[in-house]
Amino acid sequence: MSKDSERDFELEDLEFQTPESVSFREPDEFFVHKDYRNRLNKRLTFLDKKGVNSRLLIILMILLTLSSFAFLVVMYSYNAFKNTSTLLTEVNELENAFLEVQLLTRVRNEAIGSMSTRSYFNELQTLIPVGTKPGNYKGVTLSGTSRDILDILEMIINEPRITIEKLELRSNLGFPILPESNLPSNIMIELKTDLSVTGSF
Amino acid sequence: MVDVNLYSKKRRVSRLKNALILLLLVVVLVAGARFFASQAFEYRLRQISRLKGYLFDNTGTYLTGNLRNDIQMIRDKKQLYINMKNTLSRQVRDLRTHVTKKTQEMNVFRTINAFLEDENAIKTILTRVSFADGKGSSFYYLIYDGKDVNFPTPVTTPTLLAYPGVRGNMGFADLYTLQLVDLEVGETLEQRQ
Repeated sequence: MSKDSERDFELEDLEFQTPESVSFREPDEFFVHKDYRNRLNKRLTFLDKKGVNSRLLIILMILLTLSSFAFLVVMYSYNAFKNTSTLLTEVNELENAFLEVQLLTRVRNEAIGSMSTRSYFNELQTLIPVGTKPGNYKGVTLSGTSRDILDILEMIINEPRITIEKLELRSNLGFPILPESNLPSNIMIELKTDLSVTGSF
Repeated sequence: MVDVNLYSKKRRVSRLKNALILLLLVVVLVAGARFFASQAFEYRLRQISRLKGYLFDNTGTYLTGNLRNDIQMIRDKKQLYINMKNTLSRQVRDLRTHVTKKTQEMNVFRTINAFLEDENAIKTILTRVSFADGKGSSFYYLIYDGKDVNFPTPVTTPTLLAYPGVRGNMGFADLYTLQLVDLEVGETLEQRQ
């Protein structure tokens, strides 16, 4: 038997699962392993038939991975971190401002509350010519007996809403008596003052 | 034997299917990393929201999750509170100035009153009181029993520095002695010098 006839014999012994569907033409010149033949016999889809250059694919994939990771993850994380830090800073500053407002409000309310309870400004308004409007009231002049003027002076001094800019207390005689007097009541005390009414409360 | 060339340029070609699988893997990898990153920042945001809950409740704010909008909202609210703080600071400063001035004024009259109630004199006769620019002065007489006179001595400790100046003493038939005093209150030693 010749060598050609031996090869023909071996090829005939190969078993094909579906010899009819094989599009691959049986070569006479070379041997094909049956595993590879099976692979060749598989139905090729579009995705199997088409291909891209491996080197190009690797470069593209690396570039795609790096760029998408940089854009979608690194840049996002950087921006998110920066914004979160800014937000935290702003929140802390808001907290400080809020706490200071709370503190100042408490201080102001306590001060005003404390002074308001000691104020008898409305009663004083009936005795001296001052209005509720904040400002300076110059040339306020009162005259009366020593006891009356002394009471009014004490009210002015103790009134939290009023500050005395200038005050002059004297009598129509050269020898007045304050606070107590046994002299005749025709001695009149004169009070001249410049007052300031605050608008703080 | 047929000469088979095992080296083929086709070996360097990747199938489109494999390329797509690789692409999918890349997309999954990047999307997963992005998901974990976003989750981490959302967790941090929830943490801030929880930690500063009392602040947001009291200021009427809340975090929406949109960082840029949240920052702007917090910034606006902060500016509002800073304006309120400035207003309150001004009010408190005015109040403090007012209280300081009032305290000085009250202390002047309190000190004058302490001198008028002299602990040695049997009677005080006040002639004149004046007050301006936080300083006060009074002109008064002290009546002592008998011939013994003392330097003006307030019945209580004066609140402010006071400078009583004795202008003279006058006796009345060995029964009373009249002392004329000119008192200045509210001026410090440095100012006087």
